[in-house]
Amino acid sequence: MKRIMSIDDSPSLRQMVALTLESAGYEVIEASDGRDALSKLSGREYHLFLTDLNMPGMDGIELTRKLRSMPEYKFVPIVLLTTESQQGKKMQGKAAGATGWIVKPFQPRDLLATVKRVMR
Amino acid sequence: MERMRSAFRAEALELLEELDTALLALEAGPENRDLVHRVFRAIHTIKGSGATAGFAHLAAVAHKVEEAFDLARAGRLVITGSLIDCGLKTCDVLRAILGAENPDAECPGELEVSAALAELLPRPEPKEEPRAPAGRQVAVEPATSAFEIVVRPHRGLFYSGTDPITLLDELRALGQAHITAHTDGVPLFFDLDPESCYLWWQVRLVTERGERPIRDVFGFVEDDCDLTIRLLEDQSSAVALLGKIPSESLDLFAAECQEHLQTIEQHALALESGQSSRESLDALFRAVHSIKGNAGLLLSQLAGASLPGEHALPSLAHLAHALESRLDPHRQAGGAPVESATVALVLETRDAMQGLLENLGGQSPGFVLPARLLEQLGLRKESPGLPSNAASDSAFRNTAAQCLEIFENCLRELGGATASRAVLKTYQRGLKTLASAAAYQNLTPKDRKELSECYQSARSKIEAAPGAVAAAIPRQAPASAAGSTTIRIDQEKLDRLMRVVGELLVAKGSFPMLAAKVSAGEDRVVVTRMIKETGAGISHIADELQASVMAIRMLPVKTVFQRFPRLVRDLARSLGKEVQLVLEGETTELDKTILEQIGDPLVHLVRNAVDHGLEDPEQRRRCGKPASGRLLLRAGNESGNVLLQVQDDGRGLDAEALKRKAVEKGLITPEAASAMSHAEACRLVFLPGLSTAEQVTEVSGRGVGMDVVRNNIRDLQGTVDILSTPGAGTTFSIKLPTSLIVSKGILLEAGGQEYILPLASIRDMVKIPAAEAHTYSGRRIARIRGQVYSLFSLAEIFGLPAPPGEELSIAVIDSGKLRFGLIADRFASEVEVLVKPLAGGLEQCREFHGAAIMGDGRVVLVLNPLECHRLEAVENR
Repeated sequence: MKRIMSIDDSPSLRQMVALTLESAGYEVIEASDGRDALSKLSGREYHLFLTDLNMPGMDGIELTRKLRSMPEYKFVPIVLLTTESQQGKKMQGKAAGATGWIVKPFQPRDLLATVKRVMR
Repeated sequence: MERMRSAFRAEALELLEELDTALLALEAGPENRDLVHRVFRAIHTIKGSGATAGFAHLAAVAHKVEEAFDLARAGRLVITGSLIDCGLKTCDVLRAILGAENPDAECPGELEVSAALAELLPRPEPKEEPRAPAGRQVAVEPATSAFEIVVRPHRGLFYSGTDPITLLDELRALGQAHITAHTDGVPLFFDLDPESCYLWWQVRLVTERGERPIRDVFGFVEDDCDLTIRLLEDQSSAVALLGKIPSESLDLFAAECQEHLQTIEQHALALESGQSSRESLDALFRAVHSIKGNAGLLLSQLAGASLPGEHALPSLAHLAHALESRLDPHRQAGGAPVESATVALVLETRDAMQGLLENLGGQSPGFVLPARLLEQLGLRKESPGLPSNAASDSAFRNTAAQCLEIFENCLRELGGATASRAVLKTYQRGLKTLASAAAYQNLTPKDRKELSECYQSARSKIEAAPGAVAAAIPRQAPASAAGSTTIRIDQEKLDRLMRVVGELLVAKGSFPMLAAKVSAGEDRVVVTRMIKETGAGISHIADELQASVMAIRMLPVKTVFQRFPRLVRDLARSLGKEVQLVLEGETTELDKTILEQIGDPLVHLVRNAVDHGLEDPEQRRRCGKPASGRLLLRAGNESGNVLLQVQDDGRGLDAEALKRKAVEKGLITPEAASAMSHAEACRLVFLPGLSTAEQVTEVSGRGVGMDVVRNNIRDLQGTVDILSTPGAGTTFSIKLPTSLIVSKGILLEAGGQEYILPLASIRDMVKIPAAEAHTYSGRRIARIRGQVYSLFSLAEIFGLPAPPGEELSIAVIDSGKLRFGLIADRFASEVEVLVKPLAGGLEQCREFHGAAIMGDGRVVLVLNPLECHRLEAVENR
């Protein structure tokens, strides 16, 4: 089973992501910000990271940068959850090594489509 | 959804608390950047989560105030009391929305807040709509269009976590895609960075969805690759070919055509030589007919789309039709025998068809039919392409009729005592053709019914045939297969494999039994014996399995030999010589990989034999030989190897001239030349320096690229030798291993490292006291079983420290030409290994055949002893 980490400071968004992905057969691990995400990695294999951009503690861009510097997660797809007003952030995220993005708000099927796009 | 909503409600209320607190704090200290961020983040989260949880209205309200604080965050809006006020009021509105029964209804106070916010915000600048740059979009897109997409990812693509295959998969999902990967950017192994992307792709895509979705596929990687998307110029044929005909059908058609062309060639040559003319003519006619039928069938599938007349497919049908008409009179009772001019025409048409076939997938008519040929066939260039779409019905009818004819024939032959596999294959193909034709056809219900009855009756007849025969016929048309890497397997070989697998399953069953005995505390000696027996049984099965699987990879050399009759004929004609080609041992089997690579060297040798070896008729008569030269191509097994021979009865090599030339070129010393035997002198043709064209005429030799031939054969772990008798002819003998896959070897240690030495190259293995090895003019020599050998230390060759010892372990290598001994530290054991070739830059290390993975996972290099010798000999110089 493919394992996905969903990182967002909003529990309801995390819940929506988890519900959607779990019903599609993925295993979902939740984290509330970048730091929490890093602490939950513990060297396990992940197939995808879905991370919010704006978070207290460590934000999505910093998290992306950190993940890319770790050999285990160097090539794992990272999808940023952005809002339209964050074009600049999107480019920053891309430069940090993000694979793609999904614009909030999104419908469950958009999320699944994007996940399938970046993950084999 | 409801669960999500209530979860959001709880979270939003908390966030609103937080927002209230932060706003009040901010009012007290408007300079505090952290507080601005806190406010922004809270409102941002409310908006984002709200929209996701289905609170669209709430998100819209939150958005406005978020915008204001976004500006404040960027320092573009001053934090004032009224801004804080707006924020607090928004909190109230949001709470009201959360508590309302209908979350989409407007709430009291909402309008005031938005008006107050509008006052605060700077006038919105005319926003530029995000839209694709001009020129990218195609103005009017036809319903179905063919695109060419070229994707050149940047080196660092992988660092963005992108797997380019996902992009290609997405393209595939858009329509019919033909994807070509280009590897020209891949560097040598030394320079290869495994984290870089070196490949690029070219995709031909036929889609109904236009260009937009294609662009979208690359949305995430726009900046990580160079992308060009263009409409193909020749839309109609590209769409027709790629879009309407599944590429598997095209591949199948091409594969079948290839076979038919082979048949045509074979029988045309037979006709020319006057053998079995009636049967050959019939076979030839049938092949031409099948090509026409198949091409017509494919064309009929285009239904609606049209192909330009000069496209390969109609042209192919066209040519086949013309040739068929031309041959038909000869088939009639009392028809004139086929004269050689007609055979020439047949061959020429065949070549034209071959050209067209190779161009089938291409968009551009890259192959131009020779005008002369069209004229001879009684065709004019502008005559309409044969079965157009209008004629699709009749094409189908023809195909169906043809299939039925095939069925009739098959059934007649099946009625006989012996049902050959060929008949079954033909029958099967007929059924398949009919099935696929029917699938594409708009048949009337009546037609459909008749067709189905016809099919049923054929089926029942087949099933009434002897049991074994019926079983060999698939119940329905199998899904089309046949890619370029498929291999045709003799039924018998598959049966054997199945049998062995069956035995393996049975043997597997003995393990639980053994386990039970062990846990039951059975006597140790008894159990040990049983385990040993089971082990021996399984080892036997494993050997069988290996042999069966290897047998599957074995193909008769016929597949290579069959191209030579035509080659020799054409060559002889152009040189004004008469050559009789004799093929022997065509059923000898060789590994598929070897067969694929032995073709070129053989062509080389055959060409040279006809060109330089055989004299012209005049000369031959003067020497008292028959005017027609004899060229023998022979294959056979010889002590575990396969021996291929190319033998001519021509003038032979001029050894003296060869020696002279080699001395002139400085390749050998005059002394060495005079000491050379005739056989040794003949082998000089393999020297690289003697392979210039001018050389060939002067020494009447066959120097052209002989070193290349030898290297090719060496790559296949084979050897080549030459035997020439002046005036009587020359024989080239190529010795090849039957398979490259599994070989036996000796695991040895040299300089503390493990290597494997192929058993086939070892003649003898001995231990001698170190004192018996002597040094003679810088070389170590020793007498082993009465013969004197040069000795080379493997450790020294690889620059490793050799442990001193009282005894030397020596493997004696004898290749026929070279005899020497290789010194190892010690010999460990005999092993069976799967030799994998070294890839990339490492393949230049010729002293190794490859590497093998041992049972415990270690990787050990497999030595190529002849190259080790060469390495050492060069270093000694």
